[in-house]
Amino acid sequence: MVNRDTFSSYHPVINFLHFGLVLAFSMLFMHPVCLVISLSCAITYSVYLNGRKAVRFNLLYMLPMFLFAALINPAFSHAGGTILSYLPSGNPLTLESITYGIAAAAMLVAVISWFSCYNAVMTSDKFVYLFGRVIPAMSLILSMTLRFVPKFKAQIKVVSDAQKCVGRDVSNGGLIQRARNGIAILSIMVTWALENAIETANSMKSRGYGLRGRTAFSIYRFDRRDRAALVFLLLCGAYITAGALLGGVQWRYFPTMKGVEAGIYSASVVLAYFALCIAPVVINLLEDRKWEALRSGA
Amino acid sequence: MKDIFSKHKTKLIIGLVIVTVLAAAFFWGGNYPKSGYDAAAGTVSTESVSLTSSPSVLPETSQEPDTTSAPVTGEPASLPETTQTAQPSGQPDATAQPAEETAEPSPSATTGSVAPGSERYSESQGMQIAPETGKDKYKTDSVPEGKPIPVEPEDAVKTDKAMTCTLSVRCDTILNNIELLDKDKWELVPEDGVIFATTTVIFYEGESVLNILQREMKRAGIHMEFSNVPMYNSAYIEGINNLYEFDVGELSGWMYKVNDWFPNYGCSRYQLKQGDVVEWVYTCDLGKDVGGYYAVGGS
Repeated sequence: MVNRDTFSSYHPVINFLHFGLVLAFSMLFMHPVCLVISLSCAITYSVYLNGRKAVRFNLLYMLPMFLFAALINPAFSHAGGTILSYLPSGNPLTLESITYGIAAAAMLVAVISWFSCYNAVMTSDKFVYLFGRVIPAMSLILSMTLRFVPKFKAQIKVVSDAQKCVGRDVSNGGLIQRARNGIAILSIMVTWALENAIETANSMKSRGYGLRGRTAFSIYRFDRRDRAALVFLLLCGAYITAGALLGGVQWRYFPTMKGVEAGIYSASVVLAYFALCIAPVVINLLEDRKWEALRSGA
Repeated sequence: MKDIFSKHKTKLIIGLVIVTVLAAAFFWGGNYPKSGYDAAAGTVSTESVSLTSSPSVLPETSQEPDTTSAPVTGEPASLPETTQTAQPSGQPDATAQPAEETAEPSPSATTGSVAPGSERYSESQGMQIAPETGKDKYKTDSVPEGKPIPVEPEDAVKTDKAMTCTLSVRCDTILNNIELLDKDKWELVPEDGVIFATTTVIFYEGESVLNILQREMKRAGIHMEFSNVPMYNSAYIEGINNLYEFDVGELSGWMYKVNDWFPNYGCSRYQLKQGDVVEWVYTCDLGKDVGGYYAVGGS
Protein backbone atom coordinates (compact mmCIF):
# COMPACT_ATOMS: atom_id res chain seq x y z
CA MET A 1 0.00 0.00 0.00
CA VAL A 2 1.34 3.39 -0.93
CA ASN A 3 1.28 5.84 1.91
CA ARG A 4 -0.18 9.10 0.74
CA ASP A 5 1.86 11.78 2.44
CA THR A 6 -0.32 14.82 3.02
CA PHE A 7 2.58 17.04 3.96
CA SER A 8 3.97 16.56 0.43
CA SER A 9 0.81 18.04 -1.00
CA TYR A 10 1.50 21.35 0.71
CA HIS A 11 3.06 24.16 -1.23
CA PRO A 12 6.80 23.64 -1.97
CA VAL A 13 7.61 26.78 0.03
CA ILE A 14 6.10 25.16 3.13
CA ASN A 15 7.97 21.89 2.55
CA PHE A 16 11.27 23.63 1.97
CA LEU A 17 10.89 26.03 4.88
CA HIS A 18 10.04 23.21 7.25
CA PHE A 19 13.06 21.14 6.28
CA GLY A 20 15.29 24.18 6.30
CA LEU A 21 14.27 25.07 9.85
CA VAL A 22 14.39 21.54 11.18
CA LEU A 23 17.78 20.79 9.64
CA ALA A 24 19.28 24.05 10.86
CA PHE A 25 18.00 23.55 14.40
CA SER A 26 19.07 19.90 14.43
CA MET A 27 22.59 20.89 13.49
CA LEU A 28 22.80 23.77 15.96
CA PHE A 29 21.13 22.53 19.14
CA MET A 30 23.28 20.25 21.28
CA HIS A 31 20.86 20.13 24.21
CA PRO A 32 20.13 16.45 24.91
CA VAL A 33 16.36 16.99 24.99
CA CYS A 34 16.47 18.76 21.61
CA LEU A 35 18.54 15.95 20.14
CA VAL A 36 16.11 13.32 21.41
CA ILE A 37 13.18 15.26 19.97
CA SER A 38 14.84 15.76 16.59
CA LEU A 39 16.04 12.16 16.33
CA SER A 40 12.74 10.57 17.32
CA CYS A 41 10.68 12.83 15.06
CA ALA A 42 13.02 12.26 12.10
CA ILE A 43 12.86 8.49 12.53
CA THR A 44 9.07 8.54 12.98
CA TYR A 45 8.55 10.59 9.84
CA SER A 46 11.00 8.57 7.75
CA VAL A 47 9.28 5.35 8.81
CA TYR A 48 5.91 6.91 7.99
CA LEU A 49 7.16 7.95 4.55
CA ASN A 50 9.17 4.92 3.51
CA GLY A 51 7.65 2.17 5.63
CA ARG A 52 9.58 -1.07 6.00
CA LYS A 53 12.43 0.20 3.83
CA ALA A 54 13.15 2.97 6.36
CA VAL A 55 13.07 0.55 9.29
CA ARG A 56 15.58 -1.69 7.55
CA PHE A 57 17.78 1.26 6.61
CA ASN A 58 17.74 2.56 10.17
CA LEU A 59 18.61 -0.80 11.70
CA LEU A 60 21.20 -1.79 9.11
CA TYR A 61 23.05 1.45 8.60
CA MET A 62 21.98 4.09 11.09
CA LEU A 63 22.31 2.00 14.25
CA PRO A 64 25.88 0.81 13.53
CA MET A 65 26.80 4.33 12.48
CA PHE A 66 25.36 5.68 15.73
CA LEU A 67 27.36 3.20 17.80
CA PHE A 68 30.53 3.82 15.82
CA ALA A 69 30.28 7.59 16.13
CA ALA A 70 29.47 7.33 19.84
CA LEU A 71 32.45 5.08 20.56
CA ILE A 72 35.00 6.90 18.41
CA ASN A 73 34.77 10.11 20.45
CA PRO A 74 35.96 8.85 23.87
CA ALA A 75 38.69 6.90 22.09
CA PHE A 76 40.24 10.09 20.76
CA SER A 77 38.97 12.90 22.95
CA HIS A 78 39.98 12.83 26.59
CA ALA A 79 38.72 16.19 27.76
CA GLY A 80 36.22 16.47 30.58
CA GLY A 81 36.17 16.91 34.32
CA THR A 82 34.68 13.58 35.40
CA ILE A 83 37.32 10.90 35.08
CA LEU A 84 35.76 7.44 35.00
CA SER A 85 38.83 5.37 34.36
CA TYR A 86 42.07 5.35 32.40
CA LEU A 87 42.57 4.02 28.90
CA PRO A 88 45.51 1.68 28.14
CA SER A 89 47.29 4.61 26.46
CA GLY A 90 47.41 6.41 29.82
CA ASN A 91 44.87 9.07 28.94
CA PRO A 92 41.69 9.45 30.97
CA LEU A 93 38.28 8.15 29.92
CA THR A 94 35.82 10.85 30.87
CA LEU A 95 32.07 10.95 31.23
CA GLU A 96 31.91 14.14 29.18
CA SER A 97 33.66 12.66 26.16
CA ILE A 98 31.27 9.69 26.21
CA THR A 99 28.14 11.82 26.44
CA TYR A 100 29.45 14.19 23.79
CA GLY A 101 30.09 11.22 21.50
CA ILE A 102 26.53 10.02 21.99
CA ALA A 103 25.17 13.52 21.36
CA ALA A 104 27.22 13.95 18.18
CA ALA A 105 26.13 10.52 16.95
CA ALA A 106 22.48 11.37 17.66
CA MET A 107 22.85 14.61 15.72
CA LEU A 108 24.44 12.82 12.77
CA VAL A 109 21.73 10.17 12.57
CA ALA A 110 18.96 12.75 13.02
CA VAL A 111 20.27 14.92 10.19
CA ILE A 112 20.65 11.93 7.85
CA SER A 113 17.12 10.79 8.70
CA TRP A 114 15.77 14.29 8.03
CA PHE A 115 17.50 14.27 4.67
CA SER A 116 15.93 10.94 3.79
CA CYS A 117 12.54 12.55 4.52
CA TYR A 118 13.58 15.60 2.49
CA ASN A 119 14.37 13.43 -0.51
CA ALA A 120 10.98 11.78 -0.35
CA VAL A 121 9.05 15.05 0.02
CA MET A 122 11.02 17.62 -1.96
CA THR A 123 10.95 16.12 -5.44
CA SER A 124 13.11 17.76 -8.08
CA ASP A 125 10.17 19.46 -9.77
CA LYS A 126 9.40 21.22 -6.49
CA PHE A 127 12.98 22.29 -6.16
CA VAL A 128 13.15 23.61 -9.72
CA TYR A 129 9.81 25.34 -9.17
CA LEU A 130 11.23 27.15 -6.12
CA PHE A 131 14.65 28.06 -7.46
CA GLY A 132 14.31 27.82 -11.25
CA ARG A 133 13.69 31.53 -11.50
CA VAL A 134 16.27 32.72 -9.00
CA ILE A 135 19.21 30.48 -9.80
CA PRO A 136 18.27 28.63 -13.01
CA ALA A 137 21.61 27.00 -13.80
CA MET A 138 22.24 25.99 -10.21
CA SER A 139 18.82 24.48 -9.65
CA LEU A 140 18.98 22.53 -12.93
CA ILE A 141 22.38 21.12 -11.99
CA LEU A 142 21.15 20.27 -8.51
CA SER A 143 18.06 18.48 -9.71
CA MET A 144 20.09 16.63 -12.35
CA THR A 145 22.62 15.57 -9.74
CA LEU A 146 19.97 14.42 -7.31
CA ARG A 147 18.29 12.47 -10.10
CA PHE A 148 21.56 11.00 -11.32
CA VAL A 149 22.01 8.04 -8.96
CA PRO A 150 18.52 6.51 -9.30
CA LYS A 151 18.58 7.09 -13.05
CA PHE A 152 22.05 5.55 -13.35
CA LYS A 153 20.92 2.52 -11.37
CA ALA A 154 17.94 1.99 -13.66
CA GLN A 155 20.02 2.38 -16.83
CA ILE A 156 22.76 0.04 -15.63
CA LYS A 157 20.14 -2.67 -15.28
CA VAL A 158 18.98 -2.09 -18.84
CA VAL A 159 22.53 -2.22 -20.21
CA SER A 160 23.43 -5.23 -18.11
CA ASP A 161 20.36 -7.14 -19.34
CA ALA A 162 21.18 -6.30 -22.93
CA GLN A 163 24.76 -7.51 -22.47
CA LYS A 164 23.50 -10.70 -20.85
CA CYS A 165 21.61 -11.50 -24.05
CA VAL A 166 24.87 -11.58 -26.00
CA GLY A 167 26.70 -13.40 -23.20
CA ARG A 168 28.81 -10.47 -22.03
CA ASP A 169 27.42 -9.68 -18.60
CA VAL A 170 29.44 -9.66 -15.37
CA SER A 171 27.84 -13.03 -14.61
CA ASN A 172 29.29 -14.67 -17.74
CA GLY A 173 32.70 -16.32 -18.13
CA GLY A 174 35.77 -16.61 -15.95
CA LEU A 175 37.11 -14.05 -13.55
CA ILE A 176 39.09 -12.06 -16.11
CA GLN A 177 36.28 -12.21 -18.66
CA ARG A 178 33.85 -10.98 -16.01
CA ALA A 179 36.07 -8.08 -15.10
CA ARG A 180 36.40 -7.19 -18.79
CA ASN A 181 32.64 -7.29 -19.24
CA GLY A 182 32.20 -5.16 -16.14
CA ILE A 183 34.62 -2.55 -17.45
CA ALA A 184 32.84 -2.55 -20.81
CA ILE A 185 29.50 -1.96 -19.10
CA LEU A 186 31.02 0.83 -17.02
CA SER A 187 32.40 2.44 -20.15
CA ILE A 188 28.98 2.27 -21.78
CA MET A 189 27.45 3.82 -18.70
CA VAL A 190 29.91 6.70 -18.55
CA THR A 191 29.33 7.48 -22.21
CA TRP A 192 25.60 7.32 -21.66
CA ALA A 193 25.76 9.59 -18.59
CA LEU A 194 27.80 12.27 -20.39
CA GLU A 195 25.65 12.15 -23.45
CA ASN A 196 22.52 12.26 -21.36
CA ALA A 197 23.73 15.33 -19.47
CA ILE A 198 24.52 17.17 -22.69
CA GLU A 199 21.18 16.19 -24.17
CA THR A 200 19.34 17.42 -21.10
CA ALA A 201 21.21 20.70 -21.17
CA ASN A 202 20.53 21.17 -24.91
CA SER A 203 16.91 20.29 -24.45
CA MET A 204 16.48 22.78 -21.61
CA LYS A 205 18.26 25.47 -23.58
CA SER A 206 16.15 24.95 -26.68
CA ARG A 207 13.07 25.40 -24.56
CA GLY A 208 14.35 28.71 -23.32
CA TYR A 209 14.97 27.60 -19.75
CA GLY A 210 16.16 30.44 -17.57
CA LEU A 211 15.39 33.16 -20.11
CA ARG A 212 13.77 36.37 -18.98
CA GLY A 213 10.02 36.44 -19.25
CA ARG A 214 9.67 32.71 -19.70
CA THR A 215 6.90 31.17 -17.65
CA ALA A 216 6.73 27.62 -16.42
CA PHE A 217 3.77 25.40 -15.80
CA SER A 218 3.19 24.41 -12.23
CA ILE A 219 0.32 22.88 -10.37
CA TYR A 220 1.18 24.48 -7.03
CA ARG A 221 -1.30 26.82 -5.47
CA PHE A 222 -0.74 28.71 -2.26
CA ASP A 223 -4.09 28.28 -0.53
CA ARG A 224 -5.53 28.90 2.93
CA ARG A 225 -4.12 25.69 4.32
CA ASP A 226 -0.64 26.73 3.21
CA ARG A 227 -1.08 30.16 4.71
CA ALA A 228 -1.92 28.64 8.08
CA ALA A 229 1.10 26.34 7.82
CA LEU A 230 3.35 29.26 6.89
CA VAL A 231 2.20 31.26 9.89
CA PHE A 232 2.78 28.25 12.13
CA LEU A 233 6.28 27.66 10.75
CA LEU A 234 7.29 31.30 10.98
CA LEU A 235 5.97 31.65 14.54
CA CYS A 236 7.67 28.44 15.67
CA GLY A 237 10.90 29.33 13.89
CA ALA A 238 11.00 32.84 15.35
CA TYR A 239 10.17 31.65 18.86
CA ILE A 240 12.78 28.89 18.79
CA THR A 241 15.43 31.18 17.31
CA ALA A 242 14.75 33.81 19.95
CA GLY A 243 14.75 31.16 22.65
CA ALA A 244 18.08 29.79 21.45
CA LEU A 245 19.63 33.25 21.31
CA LEU A 246 18.43 33.97 24.85
CA GLY A 247 19.98 30.73 26.04
CA GLY A 248 16.79 28.71 26.44
CA VAL A 249 18.36 25.53 25.07
CA GLN A 250 21.91 26.11 26.29
CA TRP A 251 23.93 23.04 27.12
CA ARG A 252 27.66 22.63 27.51
CA TYR A 253 29.53 19.34 27.53
CA PHE A 254 33.02 20.51 28.50
CA PRO A 255 34.69 20.75 30.95
CA THR A 256 31.72 19.53 32.99
CA MET A 257 28.18 19.07 31.78
CA LYS A 258 25.90 21.92 32.61
CA GLY A 259 22.72 23.19 31.03
CA VAL A 260 20.11 25.84 31.42
CA GLU A 261 17.90 25.18 34.43
CA ALA A 262 14.65 23.49 33.56
CA GLY A 263 12.04 26.23 33.78
CA ILE A 264 8.80 27.23 32.15
CA TYR A 265 10.57 29.32 29.54
CA SER A 266 13.05 26.70 28.38
CA ALA A 267 10.27 24.11 28.47
CA SER A 268 8.17 26.30 26.18
CA VAL A 269 11.06 26.60 23.70
CA VAL A 270 11.55 22.85 23.74
CA LEU A 271 7.81 22.37 23.29
CA ALA A 272 7.80 24.70 20.27
CA TYR A 273 10.71 22.71 18.85
CA PHE A 274 8.79 19.49 19.33
CA ALA A 275 5.72 20.98 17.66
CA LEU A 276 7.84 22.01 14.68
CA CYS A 277 9.52 18.63 14.31
CA ILE A 278 6.38 16.53 14.70
CA ALA A 279 4.16 18.77 12.52
CA PRO A 280 4.32 16.66 9.29
CA VAL A 281 3.47 13.47 11.15
CA VAL A 282 0.56 15.14 12.95
CA ILE A 283 -0.75 16.59 9.68
CA ASN A 284 -0.60 13.14 8.10
CA LEU A 285 -2.29 11.40 11.01
CA LEU A 286 -5.12 13.95 11.12
CA GLU A 287 -5.65 13.59 7.38
CA ASP A 288 -5.59 9.80 7.63
CA ARG A 289 -8.24 9.91 10.32
CA LYS A 290 -10.36 12.27 8.26
CA TRP A 291 -10.05 9.94 5.28
CA GLU A 292 -11.01 6.93 7.36
CA ALA A 293 -14.02 8.76 8.78
CA LEU A 294 -15.16 9.78 5.33
CA ARG A 295 -14.77 6.30 3.95
CA SER A 296 -16.54 4.52 6.78
CA GLY A 297 -19.29 7.16 6.73
CA ALA A 298 -20.04 6.47 3.08
CA MET B 1 33.20 49.35 -22.24
CA LYS B 2 30.03 50.10 -20.37
CA ASP B 3 28.45 47.13 -22.03
CA ILE B 4 31.16 44.79 -20.81
CA PHE B 5 30.82 46.17 -17.31
CA SER B 6 27.09 45.57 -17.09
CA LYS B 7 27.46 42.15 -18.67
CA HIS B 8 29.92 40.94 -16.07
CA LYS B 9 28.55 42.85 -13.13
CA THR B 10 27.85 39.77 -11.00
CA LYS B 11 31.27 38.31 -11.68
CA LEU B 12 32.91 41.59 -10.67
CA ILE B 13 30.89 41.75 -7.47
CA ILE B 14 31.74 38.15 -6.60
CA GLY B 15 35.44 38.83 -7.21
CA LEU B 16 35.32 41.93 -5.06
CA VAL B 17 33.60 40.06 -2.22
CA ILE B 18 36.22 37.30 -2.33
CA VAL B 19 39.07 39.80 -2.22
CA THR B 20 37.46 41.65 0.69
CA VAL B 21 36.94 38.46 2.69
CA LEU B 22 40.51 37.33 2.09
CA ALA B 23 41.89 40.74 3.06
CA ALA B 24 39.79 40.79 6.23
CA ALA B 25 40.93 37.27 7.12
CA PHE B 26 44.54 38.28 6.55
CA PHE B 27 44.40 41.19 8.98
CA TRP B 28 42.08 39.51 11.46
CA GLY B 29 44.19 36.79 13.10
CA GLY B 30 46.32 36.80 16.18
CA ASN B 31 44.35 36.28 19.36
CA TYR B 32 47.36 36.12 21.61
CA PRO B 33 48.32 38.53 24.37
CA LYS B 34 49.85 41.42 22.46
CA SER B 35 52.16 42.65 25.14
CA GLY B 36 55.33 44.35 24.08
CA TYR B 37 57.71 41.54 24.80
CA ASP B 38 61.18 41.87 23.42
CA ALA B 39 62.11 38.93 21.27
CA ALA B 40 65.70 39.30 22.40
CA ALA B 41 65.30 36.97 25.31
CA GLY B 42 67.89 38.61 27.57
CA THR B 43 65.87 41.16 29.48
CA VAL B 44 62.67 39.22 29.22
CA SER B 45 63.88 36.04 30.75
CA THR B 46 65.54 37.69 33.73
CA GLU B 47 62.30 39.30 34.66
CA SER B 48 60.14 36.36 33.84
CA VAL B 49 62.30 34.04 35.83
CA SER B 50 61.82 36.30 38.78
CA LEU B 51 58.09 35.87 38.37
CA THR B 52 58.07 32.15 38.46
CA SER B 53 61.01 31.16 40.59
CA SER B 54 61.58 31.66 44.25
CA PRO B 55 61.25 35.18 45.61
CA SER B 56 64.89 35.29 46.61
CA VAL B 57 65.80 36.60 43.18
CA LEU B 58 63.06 39.20 43.20
CA PRO B 59 64.95 42.06 44.87
CA GLU B 60 67.74 42.15 42.30
CA THR B 61 65.51 41.99 39.29
CA SER B 62 62.95 44.41 40.57
CA GLN B 63 65.48 47.18 39.99
CA GLU B 64 65.95 46.26 36.40
CA PRO B 65 62.71 47.59 35.00
CA ASP B 66 64.17 51.09 35.33
CA THR B 67 66.77 50.35 32.73
CA THR B 68 64.47 48.76 30.26
CA SER B 69 61.91 50.49 28.12
CA ALA B 70 58.34 50.87 29.25
CA PRO B 71 56.50 48.51 26.89
CA VAL B 72 58.91 45.72 27.69
CA THR B 73 58.31 45.95 31.38
CA GLY B 74 54.63 46.74 31.04
CA GLU B 75 53.47 43.32 31.99
CA PRO B 76 55.74 42.43 34.88
CA ALA B 77 55.76 45.95 36.32
CA SER B 78 52.01 46.02 36.64
CA LEU B 79 52.10 42.76 38.50
CA PRO B 80 52.38 44.14 42.04
CA GLU B 81 48.86 45.55 41.85
CA THR B 82 47.36 42.24 40.89
CA THR B 83 46.67 39.41 43.25
CA GLN B 84 49.78 37.62 42.14
CA THR B 85 52.32 39.38 44.31
CA ALA B 86 50.96 37.73 47.36
CA GLN B 87 51.41 34.42 45.72
CA PRO B 88 55.19 33.91 45.53
CA SER B 89 55.63 34.59 49.24
CA GLY B 90 52.52 32.67 50.18
CA GLN B 91 53.52 29.71 48.13
CA PRO B 92 54.93 26.56 49.64
CA ASP B 93 57.60 26.97 46.98
CA ALA B 94 59.44 29.49 49.05
CA THR B 95 59.81 27.32 52.08
CA ALA B 96 59.73 23.86 50.66
CA GLN B 97 62.99 23.92 48.78
CA PRO B 98 65.33 26.41 50.30
CA ALA B 99 68.58 24.53 49.85
CA GLU B 100 68.65 23.95 46.12
CA GLU B 101 67.11 27.25 45.23
CA THR B 102 69.55 29.40 47.10
CA ALA B 103 72.51 27.20 46.43
CA GLU B 104 71.97 27.78 42.75
CA PRO B 105 72.31 31.54 42.56
CA SER B 106 70.33 33.71 40.23
CA PRO B 107 73.13 34.30 37.71
CA SER B 108 73.13 30.67 36.76
CA ALA B 109 69.36 30.74 36.52
CA THR B 110 69.40 33.70 34.23
CA THR B 111 72.32 32.79 32.04
CA GLY B 112 71.43 29.13 32.19
CA SER B 113 67.97 29.69 30.84
CA VAL B 114 69.22 31.47 27.76
CA ALA B 115 72.56 29.70 27.33
CA PRO B 116 73.05 28.33 23.83
CA GLY B 117 73.58 24.62 23.42
CA SER B 118 77.13 23.39 23.43
CA GLU B 119 77.76 20.78 20.77
CA ARG B 120 81.11 19.74 22.21
CA TYR B 121 79.67 19.24 25.67
CA SER B 122 76.60 17.39 24.38
CA GLU B 123 78.66 15.01 22.31
CA SER B 124 81.01 14.37 25.19
CA GLN B 125 77.94 13.34 27.17
CA GLY B 126 76.96 10.86 24.48
CA MET B 127 74.45 12.79 22.41
CA GLN B 128 74.68 11.88 18.75
CA ILE B 129 74.43 15.06 16.71
CA ALA B 130 74.34 15.00 12.93
CA PRO B 131 76.97 17.43 11.60
CA GLU B 132 74.88 18.71 8.70
CA THR B 133 71.85 19.72 10.80
CA GLY B 134 73.38 20.26 14.21
CA LYS B 135 70.56 18.24 15.74
CA ASP B 136 70.14 14.68 16.96
CA LYS B 137 67.86 12.22 15.18
CA TYR B 138 64.81 13.55 17.05
CA LYS B 139 65.43 17.12 15.91
CA THR B 140 66.84 18.24 19.24
CA ASP B 141 69.55 20.88 19.37
CA SER B 142 72.56 20.36 21.62
CA VAL B 143 71.98 21.10 25.28
CA PRO B 144 73.76 23.87 27.19
CA GLU B 145 76.80 23.02 29.24
CA GLY B 146 76.06 21.34 32.54
CA LYS B 147 72.57 20.24 31.56
CA PRO B 148 71.53 16.61 31.17
CA ILE B 149 71.19 15.27 27.65
CA PRO B 150 67.97 13.57 26.55
CA VAL B 151 67.55 9.88 27.42
CA GLU B 152 65.28 7.97 25.09
CA PRO B 153 62.43 6.41 27.12
CA GLU B 154 62.90 3.03 25.44
CA ASP B 155 66.58 2.98 26.49
CA ALA B 156 66.00 4.13 30.06
CA VAL B 157 66.89 1.50 32.66
CA LYS B 158 64.32 1.57 35.40
CA THR B 159 65.13 0.13 38.81
CA ASP B 160 63.29 -0.20 42.11
CA LYS B 161 65.43 2.43 43.74
CA ALA B 162 63.09 5.09 45.10
CA MET B 163 64.17 8.71 44.97
CA THR B 164 62.42 12.01 45.52
CA CYS B 165 61.88 15.14 43.52
CA THR B 166 59.42 18.00 43.78
CA LEU B 167 56.59 18.58 41.38
CA SER B 168 54.28 21.52 40.91
CA VAL B 169 51.73 22.53 38.28
CA ARG B 170 50.81 26.20 37.92
CA CYS B 171 48.79 28.28 35.51
CA ASP B 172 49.16 31.78 37.03
CA THR B 173 49.83 33.39 33.64
CA ILE B 174 46.21 32.70 32.75
CA LEU B 175 45.12 35.09 35.51
CA ASN B 176 46.52 37.98 33.45
CA ASN B 177 44.83 36.84 30.26
CA ILE B 178 41.60 35.40 31.61
CA GLU B 179 39.55 37.29 29.04
CA LEU B 180 41.09 35.15 26.29
CA LEU B 181 39.87 31.99 28.00
CA ASP B 182 36.45 30.55 27.26
CA LYS B 183 34.06 31.60 30.05
CA ASP B 184 33.07 27.97 30.59
CA LYS B 185 36.63 27.26 31.70
CA TRP B 186 37.04 30.12 34.15
CA GLU B 187 36.04 27.87 37.01
CA LEU B 188 39.03 25.65 36.25
CA VAL B 189 41.60 28.34 37.00
CA PRO B 190 42.40 28.43 40.72
CA GLU B 191 42.50 31.88 42.32
CA ASP B 192 46.21 31.61 43.03
CA GLY B 193 46.94 29.75 39.80
CA VAL B 194 48.22 26.68 41.62
CA ILE B 195 46.77 23.48 40.23
CA PHE B 196 49.16 21.16 42.03
CA ALA B 197 51.11 22.75 44.85
CA THR B 198 54.81 22.01 45.20
CA THR B 199 55.01 18.52 46.61
CA THR B 200 57.86 16.15 47.23
CA VAL B 201 57.10 13.01 45.31
CA ILE B 202 58.74 9.63 44.99
CA PHE B 203 60.01 8.34 41.68
CA TYR B 204 62.05 5.32 40.69
CA GLU B 205 65.45 5.53 39.11
CA GLY B 206 65.26 5.84 35.33
CA GLU B 207 61.84 7.47 35.25
CA SER B 208 61.10 10.55 33.20
CA VAL B 209 59.26 13.77 33.92
CA LEU B 210 56.25 12.37 32.07
CA ASN B 211 56.16 9.32 34.35
CA ILE B 212 55.89 11.31 37.57
CA LEU B 213 53.46 13.84 36.08
CA GLN B 214 51.21 11.04 34.89
CA ARG B 215 51.39 9.18 38.19
CA GLU B 216 50.86 12.19 40.42
CA MET B 217 48.01 13.62 38.34
CA LYS B 218 46.30 10.25 38.41
CA ARG B 219 46.78 10.00 42.15
CA ALA B 220 45.51 13.54 42.76
CA GLY B 221 42.55 12.98 40.44
CA ILE B 222 43.59 15.83 38.18
CA HIS B 223 42.78 15.49 34.52
CA MET B 224 45.76 15.29 32.16
CA GLU B 225 45.92 14.46 28.48
CA PHE B 226 49.00 13.85 26.38
CA SER B 227 49.81 12.50 22.97
CA ASN B 228 52.94 10.76 21.73
CA VAL B 229 54.88 12.50 19.00
CA PRO B 230 57.13 10.01 17.19
CA MET B 231 59.04 12.77 15.42
CA TYR B 232 60.40 14.02 18.76
CA ASN B 233 60.18 10.61 20.44
CA SER B 234 58.36 12.18 23.34
CA ALA B 235 54.97 12.79 24.82
CA TYR B 236 53.36 16.18 24.34
CA ILE B 237 51.19 17.45 27.19
CA GLU B 238 48.01 18.75 25.59
CA GLY B 239 46.13 19.72 28.70
CA ILE B 240 46.19 19.57 32.47
CA ASN B 241 43.07 20.12 34.59
CA ASN B 242 41.12 20.56 31.31
CA LEU B 243 43.18 23.63 30.51
CA TYR B 244 44.41 22.80 27.03
CA GLU B 245 46.90 24.16 24.58
CA PHE B 246 45.51 27.14 22.62
CA ASP B 247 42.85 27.75 25.29
CA VAL B 248 44.29 31.19 26.11
CA GLY B 249 45.14 32.48 22.66
CA GLU B 250 46.98 30.75 19.89
CA LEU B 251 50.39 30.91 21.57
CA SER B 252 49.38 29.16 24.78
CA GLY B 253 50.19 25.72 26.15
CA TRP B 254 52.04 23.77 28.82
CA MET B 255 55.80 23.93 29.35
CA TYR B 256 58.03 22.32 31.93
CA LYS B 257 61.19 23.30 33.65
CA VAL B 258 63.56 21.31 35.78
CA ASN B 259 65.75 23.20 38.24
CA ASP B 260 64.66 26.44 36.55
CA TRP B 261 65.79 25.30 33.11
CA PHE B 262 63.36 24.75 30.27
CA PRO B 263 64.74 21.66 28.53
CA ASN B 264 64.82 21.87 24.74
CA TYR B 265 63.43 18.35 24.44
CA GLY B 266 60.24 16.54 25.43
CA CYS B 267 59.28 15.44 28.92
CA SER B 268 59.51 11.72 28.10
CA ARG B 269 63.21 12.15 27.41
CA TYR B 270 64.13 14.00 30.60
CA GLN B 271 65.42 11.45 33.06
CA LEU B 272 64.98 12.56 36.66
CA LYS B 273 67.68 12.78 39.25
CA GLN B 274 67.42 12.88 43.03
CA GLY B 275 66.24 16.29 44.22
CA ASP B 276 65.15 17.65 40.85
CA VAL B 277 62.63 20.46 40.98
CA VAL B 278 60.04 19.89 38.26
CA GLU B 279 57.62 22.70 37.50
CA TRP B 280 54.86 22.65 34.92
CA VAL B 281 53.79 26.14 33.92
CA TYR B 282 51.18 27.39 31.51
CA THR B 283 52.36 29.96 29.01
CA CYS B 284 50.08 32.33 27.14
CA ASP B 285 52.80 33.71 24.88
CA LEU B 286 54.98 30.91 23.54
CA GLY B 287 57.07 30.82 26.69
CA LYS B 288 57.92 34.53 26.79
CA ASP B 289 55.81 35.11 29.89
CA VAL B 290 57.42 32.26 31.84
CA GLY B 291 60.97 32.75 30.62
CA GLY B 292 61.19 29.75 28.35
CA TYR B 293 60.93 31.36 24.92
CA TYR B 294 64.27 30.05 23.69
CA ALA B 295 63.18 26.48 24.47
CA VAL B 296 60.68 26.57 21.64
CA GLY B 297 63.36 27.65 19.20
CA GLY B 298 62.89 31.36 19.76
CA SER B 299 66.47 32.58 19.54
